[in-house]
This record gives sequence, structure tokens and C-alpha cells, in this order.
Amino acid sequence: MAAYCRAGAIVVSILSVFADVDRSWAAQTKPQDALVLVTSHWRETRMSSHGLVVGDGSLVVALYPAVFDELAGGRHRLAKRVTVASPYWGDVADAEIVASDARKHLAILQVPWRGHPSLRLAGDKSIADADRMMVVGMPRVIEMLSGKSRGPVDASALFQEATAGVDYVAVREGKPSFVVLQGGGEISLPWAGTPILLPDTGRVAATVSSFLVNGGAEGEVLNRMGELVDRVRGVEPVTASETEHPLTENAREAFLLTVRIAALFGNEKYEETAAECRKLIELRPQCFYGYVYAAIAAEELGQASEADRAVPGGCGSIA
Amino acid sequence: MKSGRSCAVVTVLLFVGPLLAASQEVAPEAALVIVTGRSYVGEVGGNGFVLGDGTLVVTCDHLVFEKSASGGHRADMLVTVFSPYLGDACEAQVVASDEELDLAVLEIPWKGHPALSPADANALAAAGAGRVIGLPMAIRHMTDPDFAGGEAETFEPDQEELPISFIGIRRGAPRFVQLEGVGRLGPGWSGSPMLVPGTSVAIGCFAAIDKRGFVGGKMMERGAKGPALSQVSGLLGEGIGEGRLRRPDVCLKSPDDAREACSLALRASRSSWPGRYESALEPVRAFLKLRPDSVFGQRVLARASEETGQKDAARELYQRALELDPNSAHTRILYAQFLGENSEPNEARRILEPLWQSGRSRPLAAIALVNILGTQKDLGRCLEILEEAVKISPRNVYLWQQMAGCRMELQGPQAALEPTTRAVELCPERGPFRGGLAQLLERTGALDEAEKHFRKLLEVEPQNPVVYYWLAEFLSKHRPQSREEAVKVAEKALSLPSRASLPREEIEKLIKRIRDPAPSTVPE
Repeated sequence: MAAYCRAGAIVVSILSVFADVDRSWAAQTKPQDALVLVTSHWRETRMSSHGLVVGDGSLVVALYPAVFDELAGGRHRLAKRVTVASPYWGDVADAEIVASDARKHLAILQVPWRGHPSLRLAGDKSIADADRMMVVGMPRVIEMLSGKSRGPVDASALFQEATAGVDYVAVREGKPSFVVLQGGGEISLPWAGTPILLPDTGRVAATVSSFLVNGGAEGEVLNRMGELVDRVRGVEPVTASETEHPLTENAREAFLLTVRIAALFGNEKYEETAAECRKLIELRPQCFYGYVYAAIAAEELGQASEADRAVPGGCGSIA
Repeated sequence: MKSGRSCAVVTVLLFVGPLLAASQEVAPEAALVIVTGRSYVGEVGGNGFVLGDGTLVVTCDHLVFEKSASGGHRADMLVTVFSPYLGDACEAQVVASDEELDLAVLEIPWKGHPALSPADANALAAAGAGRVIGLPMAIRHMTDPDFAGGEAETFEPDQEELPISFIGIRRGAPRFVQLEGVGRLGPGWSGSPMLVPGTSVAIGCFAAIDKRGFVGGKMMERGAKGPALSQVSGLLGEGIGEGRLRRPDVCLKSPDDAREACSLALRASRSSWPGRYESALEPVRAFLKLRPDSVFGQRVLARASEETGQKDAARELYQRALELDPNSAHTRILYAQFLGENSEPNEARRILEPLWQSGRSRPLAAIALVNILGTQKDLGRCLEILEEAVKISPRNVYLWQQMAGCRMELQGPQAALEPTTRAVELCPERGPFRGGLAQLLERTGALDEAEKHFRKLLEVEPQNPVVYYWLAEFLSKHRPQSREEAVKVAEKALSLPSRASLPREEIEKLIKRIRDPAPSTVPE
């Protein structure tokens, strides 16, 4: 009975008196500025989905199944190697999985960035009361990388957004746990990992994590993520970045080059991969990504000495 | 329902003290009822529970409306409520429903029936677990002829307690409750109350087993789901009044023969179906000995008598049922149907017209009335009624089917196309509607469309030789280049178990005709 009283008090607060700090927020960051492309690598396979920068810019929310390899019915679990590409900075970084929760379908990645635009979290009451929510993502990029679309993606059509009615918000122990958006089918698999935002404030409520047979989409509420991160020693608390962060020059161009490189490499077009790598190295000489892919492409083309030259001083990480 | 039964209950409340019991603490099982919905194609049954002052029953929407498995069809049914506590059965009226939530509230005339209280939003939030209590054995015996488990109609409640997984809210208001896991919940449990454990406070009404997935389709969670009872008040609106949601200070006492009577009523109801009426006679007669003034009993016996050739007895029983409750929509529809089939259409119209005009059970009254008017060839009036009825119940496939029939008679096949197309959209899984549309399209010269539907019928009814016969015949008439395919399709019809409506000889004749077409009669 004590448990009932406790839960009751909490839920009453959801329905009526949640501290709602949304109104004090002045929108500076556009939702798409905090979006990143998360790519996991394991042997010959690569999987890409959306990620979302939160806090001081060093944390990325990703989907659990996008970064872990598991086998249905067994206990096998392998943390895949993960890279994060930012369309805002036109940069790519290795990421470390610092926290995860299979039940919530979430993983938190740490990247060596500070000051990357990040989104602020919506208050629990705003989430509970919301009638409609919106998602912003790069579904065309995901479709291209998964081989479902071969068409080029240009910078002006990089981001798409969609709005949907809230079917329901699931409340567990008095707190919003996940959100279900109404069907229509528009928000489908290529939208996995995108932020679910409150349209009025631009604050992020959840991240798209699964899709329902009726065409609806489900997303885990990110307010609970703070508890996940707080359990990890050495990780900064989730507080939003306050730094000014102008869009980096050539950022979109550099980002789209990384996407094209991944897509061409996935299609075994190594000469074209090498050509795109050269362009990326020119734009981002400090970024490992162009060098690593140039080296692997050269190796695939049987140009061992080219491969050696492409990776100066052991820089970089994975492919 | 302003019925004789209601009057009897009022009398009991005023003058017969010993039949009342204090209701401060109601055992939840006393509030359980069985709900059946009967339509033109069959009967569904499930649990329900009495709420508030005893005149409201909460159950699932899918138990009181007939629906299509894959289309938008939704039609009223004749709803009956059986009370193991009172040992009685009565007609119920749907007073509110929410299809999305799968929640329906019925009105019954049993003021003082033991009832549950609905939990408000805060009580729902305070609940850490839900106890589902129902009569799954009795339901399965009632609805599944092949079910052999447990003892029939013992009315011993079964229960399952599960932690609350989450509460689904929309715009801040609780919509439904989902429990963690399903335990033994499954067939026979729909409509059962989800209670705060150890109380008679209902937080929800179990409706379905929900599955939540994950990217890539890996299954993670299954849970028992049901609409939140806090929705009921808003669903009923101000017209019904909050007062009816409060339990009375005293409630009716359960008679000693309650379970026996309820069991007999259920057996009689289960047997009231074509081909089984003979076996309804014994239980319904026994039931009427225990409850001589039961409208339900009189009506079921009337129907069984009608179907077993005892027409005079049937007429008397219908009239007796109407005396007991002149407003009973069930009795009026069945009696009118009886009269129509026994050459008394004018009397049938006299009974049905006020029902159609009164606003109660209008779609059901419309269908019955159109059936009668159709035999009198008053098709103009039929169309008038149907045009109005489809505005009230636009997803009722039977109304569109009847409209197609009327238009066909009055205006020809072209005019029947629109309502027939609508019927197929509403019930894509039912072969007869699609077959009718395919034949209409063929008659109006829309051969490509007709062929599409004839071919689709093979998917809809793959074991029915008639649909293969139709396609073969169509191909042989209109697609000379497909003669080989027509033969193969007809041979397939021959290989399937035959139907009374299509003797094997007919199929053989068709095959012969396709193989040896008659010589052309076109003059030189």
C-alpha cells in the first residue's frame, strides 16, 4: 500500500504540477543542428541511424540496437565500433558507448567534442500534455546508406520534418516513459533515432525507437536518460551547451562527402570512393575519416603502397 | 428500459426488504456479468461488469458491435446481459462507446445489482497492480463449441494479478492501463474488470493483449491492455449523470437459484441458432419455471417454438414478451420478422415503424423494416429508410447491401454499383459481397474491373468451388484467349468439396462448354 501512495503522489504531479521550465527557454538551436549520423561497424557490416547531441555537446543519444550486436533468444552482446558524423561541423569522430539500457532501447555515446549544438529536454508535464509532436531527421541519407535509394542527397534537402498526433504517452511510476505517435506510416524505419520534439518550444521529448504495425512510431522519453548517464563515473552531467556555435564553413559539403564515401564503399565502388576521399581530405585535412577510407579503398584496389601513404602516422580508427 | 422488469425491481426496493442486502463491501465477483452480441452472422460473447447504481454495464466495444476483420464495417448487435448473481438475463442498450479504446457502456434495468466503482485518474495513478477477474470458462463454453476445458457454467471467477506496466495518457488524461505480461489472460477474458487488488474499484476493462516491438521487429514486451475506467464518466456525458456511477447503499440479494437460472439462460441462448433450436426448448422452459416473467425467456422460447414449427405457441409467447416489455427492441424485431414470414406484413410494419421512428436501435429496425417492405414491393419507402439509415450508421454493410438490392430493382445495375462497392470496401473479406460486385460489373460491361474482383475472390474464399466456377465462366465468356486457364480454374472447382448450390454436374457442363464451344451463329 505504501508503494501505491508513493506512486500516486508522483502521478498527481504529472497531471497537474510538474515543474515546466520550457517557457523560459529561448530557442537558439535548430533541431537539425543537434542531429548526427551514427554508424556502427562490425566485420564487414555497417549500420547507420540517427543520433542526437545532448548536454555539453560531448554526449550523443543513439539507439541500443544500432550500436550493439545481439542474437535473438541468446545472451550474446557485442558493443560495435561506432563513429559519429556531424552535419553541423562536417566532422567525424570515434565514439565510446558509456551507458546503455536495452529495455529503454537507448545507448549514450561520448564523443571528443565540446560545444556542439545540443537540444534541451522537454519537461515531463509538457510531454504529458502534448497533443502533437514533430520529428526532424535525415531519412534520405539513411535510405541511401542502406541501399534503398541511390539518388544523391544535396545539402538543401538534407533534413526533413514530419508532424504527428500523440496517440499516447506511457506513464510509468508517475513519469513519462515513452511516447507513441499516431499512424500514417510517414515516420518509418529511416527515421529511427530521430528526436521527437514539442513543436511549440523545440525541446526534445523522446527519440524514435520502434515502429508499430498500425503505422505509428514509438519513442523513449529522454528525461529518464539523465539517470542513465549519472550512473557512469566520469561523464559530465546532461546540461545543455551554452556556447555560441556558428555553422562551420563547408560543413554540409564535408558531411555529404562522408555519406557518399560510405555509400560508394558499401557498393564496392573503390575508385570513386578514393576520389571522394581526396575531396574530403582537402576540406578536412585533420579528420581521419578521409584517410582511412582512402587507405581501405586503395587496399581493395590492390594498391598497397597507396594504402600505406593514405594513413599517415597511424591516425584514425576504423572502417 | 421502462419495462415490467424495472417496475418489479422498483417494487422490490420499496416493499420487499429481505431481498435487499447491504452493499458497503461488494465482492467483485458479484458484479460480473456475461455479455452477448448477436448479429446476422453469429454471436460473440464476453465478460462485462456492473458499475455504479447497477444500471450500467462496462464491456468491450468489440463484444457489442459487429466488425469486419479487414474493413471498416461496424454494425449494432442485439445485446443481452446475463447475471450469475441475479440468475437472470435482459436486453441491453449501448449508451456510449469508444471504438478506439474498445470500451462500451450498456444500460440495463437492474438497479441495485452489486456493482464496482470506477477509479478516478488519481486512484488509477496510485494503483501498483491490476487484478483481472472474469468468467473465462463460462465464456468459452458459451462461445466455443469445441472447447472442452473446465466445468460448464460454474461461474467460479478466475483471476490474474499483474503489476501495472504503464498508463497511457493523452492530453494529460489517462486513456488505458497496460499490465506487465499477460499471465493466463487470453480467450474468454475480454470485458473483465481490472481492479485495484483487494477492492471493488475498477481501474480498467481488459480488452486485448498488446505487443510492443523494437527497431528490426524483435519482440520485447507483451501486456494485458484495457481502457481506463476514468474514461467512462466523460464517455457517458452529462445526460447520464454522475449519480448513476455511485454505488447504492443497498443492493439486490442474490436468489438461491441464481446460478442454476443463469446456467439455463445461457444454455438456452447458446442453442438459439439455426439448426440447434430443438435443444433450446428444454433449458428455456426450465428457466421460465424459475423466472416466469422473464422477457428474455419468453422471447427465446418463442423463437425456438417458431423454428420447431409451433407457430401458434410462438405467436402467443412473442405477445406475452411484448406485454412484459412493450419497448423491447429484440422482441419487436423478432416478432415482426415472424409476422413477415407468416404473411402478416402489415402487422409487422405496425410494430417496426415506431421502433424505426423512436431512435432506439434504428439501424437494426431499418434492416428488419426494409425486409418487410421489400416483400410488399414498397421499394420507394425502403430507399427512403435506407438513405436515412446510412447517415446514422454509415459503416453498416447490411444497410448498403439492402440499398444495392433496392436500387437494382428500381433503377437497374448501374445504380446498384455504388452501394455494392461500398459494401465490398466495408467487408473485403466476405465473398458474397465481392461476388455480387463482380457480377454487377460484368453486367454493366466493366469487364476488367469485374475480372479483378473474380480473381480476388479466389484469395478470399480459396476453398469455395463457386468462386472458381464464376471465374471460369467469366473467362469463357469474355476472354477467349484464356480458354485453357478457364478449364484449369473449372477443374479446380471440381477438385474442391462440392456445395449444395453448385452440383458437380454444373461444373462438368461448364468444362465441356469451354472445351467445345458452340459454333458461331454470326451470319456470313
